[in-house]
Amino acid sequence: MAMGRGESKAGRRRERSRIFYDILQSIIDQESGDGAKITRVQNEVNLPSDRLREHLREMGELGLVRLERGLASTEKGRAYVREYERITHVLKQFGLL
Amino acid sequence: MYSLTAEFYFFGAFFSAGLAFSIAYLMLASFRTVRSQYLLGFPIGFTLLGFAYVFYGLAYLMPFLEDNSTWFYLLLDAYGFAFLAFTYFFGRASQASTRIGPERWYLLLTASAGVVAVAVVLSASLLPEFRAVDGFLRVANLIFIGYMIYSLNRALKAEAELSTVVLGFTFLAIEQYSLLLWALDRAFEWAFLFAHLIRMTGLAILVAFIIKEFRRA
Repeated sequence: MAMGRGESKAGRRRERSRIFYDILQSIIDQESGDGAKITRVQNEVNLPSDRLREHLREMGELGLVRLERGLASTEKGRAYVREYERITHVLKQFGLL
Repeated sequence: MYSLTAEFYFFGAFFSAGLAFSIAYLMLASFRTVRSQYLLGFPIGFTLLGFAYVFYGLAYLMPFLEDNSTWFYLLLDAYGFAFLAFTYFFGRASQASTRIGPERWYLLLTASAGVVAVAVVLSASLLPEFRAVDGFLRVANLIFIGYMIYSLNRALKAEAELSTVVLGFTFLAIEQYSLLLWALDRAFEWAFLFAHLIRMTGLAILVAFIIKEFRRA
């Protein structure tokens, strides 16, 4: 499992791939409730609004999220989350994360 | 006796190269996903180790290239371990909130390529005595691997079980120690043979572990 989302607050810079993972994870968590909301994602991933919207636009272009008719993850986005967790698990075993 | 051990060293070198390239390939897949620049050192390090073993095998395949091949082997082996150790060093530096740019890796690569090129261009007679450099670089490799194991243990301090990765790296450290004995005294032929066996075992442990973890996670 990858690091907690709050870790960015400790002053450690996050890679773009990590930010994508955090955003997707937040969206997937919210989807199990009453649907994903941008403001809640913003609070959870600790990003300013303009940067979050920029990342969401980019993620939309990559097919990781769907922005029309509300914010939602795609199958590609969920596959990205699984792949990211798989890789970070192995890297942690090597003491590299 | 000679031909049998020569064949063992030859096939052992290419088998080790295959294992090292496999680790490099699997770790490159990790880099593609996570995209942390410092992680590049891992596939680069294992690729250098793979090429080192290829050159070592070539020395048995083409004896007329033995001088240059063994120099290549020695230098690439040391650069491989240096890159792996630097990966752990840069990894710790990145946790201190600094962004690791690829330029550091390019600088290291350029320096590596420069030294290897010098080894090729200069004749063997102009290079320092092989055994002295061999002994020196074995000690350096032991320091690099020691640093890797230290960093790994720090990162895994919460884990109660012995890490398989630590075990794999420990085997590589024993390989270097055996080769150091061989460099100091050529009478320790068993140490040379043992080094090859333990290196293959260590690399095989790492490959098996990565594959198992990728499948399980």
